[in-house]
Amino acid sequence: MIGGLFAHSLSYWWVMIPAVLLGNIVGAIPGFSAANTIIILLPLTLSVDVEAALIFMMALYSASQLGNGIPAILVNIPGTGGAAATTLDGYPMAQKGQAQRALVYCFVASIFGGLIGTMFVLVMLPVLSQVGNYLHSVEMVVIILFGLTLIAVIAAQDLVKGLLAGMLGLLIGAIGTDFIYSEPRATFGMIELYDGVPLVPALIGLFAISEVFMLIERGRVVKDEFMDVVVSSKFYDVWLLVKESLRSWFLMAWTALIGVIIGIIPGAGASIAAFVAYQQARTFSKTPELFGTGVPEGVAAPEAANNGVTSGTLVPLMAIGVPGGSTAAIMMVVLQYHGVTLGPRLFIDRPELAYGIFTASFITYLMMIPLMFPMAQYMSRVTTFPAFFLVPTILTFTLLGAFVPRTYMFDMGLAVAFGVLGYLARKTGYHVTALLIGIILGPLMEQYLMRALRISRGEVDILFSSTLGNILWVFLVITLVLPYVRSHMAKQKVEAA
Amino acid sequence: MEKRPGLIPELIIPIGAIAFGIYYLSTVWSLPFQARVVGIYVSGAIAILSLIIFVRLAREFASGRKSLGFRGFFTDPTAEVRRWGVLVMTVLFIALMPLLGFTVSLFLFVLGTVLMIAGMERLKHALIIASATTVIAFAIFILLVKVRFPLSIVDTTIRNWVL
Repeated sequence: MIGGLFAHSLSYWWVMIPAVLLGNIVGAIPGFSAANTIIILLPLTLSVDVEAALIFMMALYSASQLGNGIPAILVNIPGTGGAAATTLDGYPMAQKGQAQRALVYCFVASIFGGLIGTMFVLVMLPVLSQVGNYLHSVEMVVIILFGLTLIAVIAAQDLVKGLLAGMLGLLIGAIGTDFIYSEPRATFGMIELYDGVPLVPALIGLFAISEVFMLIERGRVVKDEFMDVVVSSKFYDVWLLVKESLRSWFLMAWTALIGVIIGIIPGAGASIAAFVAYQQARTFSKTPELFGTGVPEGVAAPEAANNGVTSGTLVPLMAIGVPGGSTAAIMMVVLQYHGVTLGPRLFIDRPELAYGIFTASFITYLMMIPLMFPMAQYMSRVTTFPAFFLVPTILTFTLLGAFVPRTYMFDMGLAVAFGVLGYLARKTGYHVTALLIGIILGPLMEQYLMRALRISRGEVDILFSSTLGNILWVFLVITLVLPYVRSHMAKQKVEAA
Repeated sequence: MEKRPGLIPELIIPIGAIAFGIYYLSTVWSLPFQARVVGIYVSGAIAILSLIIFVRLAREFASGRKSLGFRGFFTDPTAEVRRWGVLVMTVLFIALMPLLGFTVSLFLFVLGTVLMIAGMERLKHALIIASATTVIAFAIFILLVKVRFPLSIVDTTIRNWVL
């Protein structure tokens, strides 16, 4: 049956190709996302037959996850929060003239992660559809803590400054109306901040605008001594790099599975998955000290996790009719318009739809191979463009992108304010990613923690009350302690020698 | 001539963070404890970390590794003028868009930014980049995606002419 479903999905190649190309473009422009693009294209998806609509949305969603990583590597601007972890090593690689290598790792990890994630979901669907039932507020608190511990990892070079940036990010993330009492907090009297700090302007300011200010100083992305490396790169190099990147298949596979599991949890999403995957990749790396200086594993892990999320987020939608994220919610609207009833019966009544969405995702990722890899060589040349071209182009598309989600002029101004903050932070040795992690994960952490405390009537013991939660706590402690144990053992080994 | 890096830039983020922490607490102080808890703990952590930075900077100043002032923060004067120029252009772009509309403000913004960075000798390049960027942005944001940017008579005329 599965073979037939693959063949059936493949017959929609004419829908997949434009969706992949469009998905890459919207993924690469901050402010745009698969969710708002599908909303814009609703008249199209509502007018075609339900299978074509579903395959189009799935292909666009998968491709946009891959597209997010491209500007993160080339110009240090993540398309969404999910690609912020990719900048940590992707951009240093681009500065060293290795943009092509970073892009190939990004594409391979995205495609490999997407394929593994889809296959895993297809095989384990009945089990995975139950995962959401076991992950409550307490378990979510621990999962988010995995992401937050990345602040300490980033802060390795200067712990105090890194932690201060993270704490400031958490406090900025706590701006807006309180979750329980609905009281405005630190909004400076601005009604636009009542819903909290919007992520897109914060992301654009901290990364894009501050990067533009740095770029004016440097002249171009790639350092002068590496210009020749970029200019002399050849198409054949791409295939050598593909072979090289596939040696990290195990890392990509397990970080993709992290993405699938986190994707299943409603409201979690790609940001948490990418940060957790990066943190885990660093913890279990033989050379953790090199993370952040431009190592390909630092690109592969978050990208594989990002793309694992795409399959995971659809599990609760198809299995129990609960969307795992905003894109899945819009897909649900389209499916309901076409008269599709989501839930367990769908797998019996219309298997071509229920399983077809995953086989379509699988084929979409395969289609990305001929569509994306030939472009890596040309995309890497962006790093050699002069500042007088890059600065206005980046500013235009990111500032306009800041306006798109809420259509407030205020958000463009907010992006500039975050740009100044990001620039000051960079110039004085504070990591903007630590700030961003706080802004993204802070409100989520607060929301789940408050919910847990509310359930227990303020008793902190609830955080250690579930078996799964306690297992996750143990893993968290191992994750935090392991690097120190390993470095201590390595020191002892050297001393003994 | 003074060659030690100045410590004032290093004070901006910690002082700003403390000020924001105090402001945050002032807005939640009258709320029940559960609503204040995040503010109290995070602001407290900010205060402690900032204090450590202040002590560290004071020691660096005392040992002669840091000087008073901004040394090391402002680099090459040409780059500084360009950076401030681009910041002013960006603020003007956002402020003037509701008055001038999407197309005119964007064209002037890109033209001004290129000239600010590359100088008047790149006028031809500036005109090409500004025109191309404006056309592409108009096609994507106004025609294709139909984002509701402030439009002037110029924008509506072009849109009606194209569609």
